[in-house]
Amino acid sequence: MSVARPAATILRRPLQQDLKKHVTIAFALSAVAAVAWKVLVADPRKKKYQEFYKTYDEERQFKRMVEAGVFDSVKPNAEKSEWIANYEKEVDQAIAALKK
Amino acid sequence: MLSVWGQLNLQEGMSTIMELMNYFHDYMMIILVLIMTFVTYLFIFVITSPRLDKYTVDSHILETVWTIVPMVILLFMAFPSLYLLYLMEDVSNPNLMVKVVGHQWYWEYQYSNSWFNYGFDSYMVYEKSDSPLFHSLDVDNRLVLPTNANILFLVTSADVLHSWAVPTLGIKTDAIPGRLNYLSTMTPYSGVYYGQCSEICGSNHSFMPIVLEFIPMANYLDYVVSLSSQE
Repeated sequence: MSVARPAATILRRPLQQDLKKHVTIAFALSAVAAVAWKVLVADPRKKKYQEFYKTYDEERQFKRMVEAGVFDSVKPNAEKSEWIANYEKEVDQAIAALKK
Repeated sequence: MLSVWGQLNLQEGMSTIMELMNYFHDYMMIILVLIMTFVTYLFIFVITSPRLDKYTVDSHILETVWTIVPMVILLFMAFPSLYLLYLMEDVSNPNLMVKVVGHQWYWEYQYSNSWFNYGFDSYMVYEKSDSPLFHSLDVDNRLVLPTNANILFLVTSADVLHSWAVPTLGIKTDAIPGRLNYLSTMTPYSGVYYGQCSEICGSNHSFMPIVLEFIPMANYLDYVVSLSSQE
């Protein structure tokens, strides 16, 4: 009948043996933590910015803010200056011409 | 953009530089988390380990490793940091120049161009009858600026040290009497951005906020024309 041998007791440089094991574990854990931060925090933040600005319409947001009364210099329902109205008309015409 | 209660992170970046700074902050946090985990684990191991080596007096290999490894880590941190730093310093062809003068306890702004010169003071307001108020943040006269334009700020002070800061644009510079510091920014996004004085300057240091109002260029020119007609 064979009996399993018990694990050999480390009698030579036990601290160094332990250190080798634990420094390796520390490296592995820190790599995992770094990758976790990148995957769970850094990359989602970049993606959030990208997704938000893919459909961001600056003009629409500006109009929304004006309607909400956010600005002091641009009031909601204020009469547009003639030159702005003409300028916007010219821009719309130029965009329409480009689309043709 | 302004901070909200309980906010731990940086504010959202409304200028390109601030967006890059947010990404850079995330990159630095990756490195810091790596180092922190490594050190914490070894710290717990050292405290809880039953083993002890009282005969180690030196280790050249260990000393070499723990010099080289931090040096390499610092190189990984230094290159993107210096890149962003020099990017922030780049001031090329400003479209508009604004002088900012710190006083006790208000800011004075001056639009300064070859075709338009207008100055005003910006005091904190305690009450605004026609719109909700952000506590200690709203002012009577906001600094109105155009989007999609390079703006150069020249910042100084008339009395003591102040600091002009708008976190969401990633800009901050000291207002020093007798010295002109410069800042440059550009944002493509309309909105109202808040900041506060960031250098202790007396009893009302906390009550001299900064409010920037960014509007599209056409509306900005309209605003400037209306200011000129008021003068």
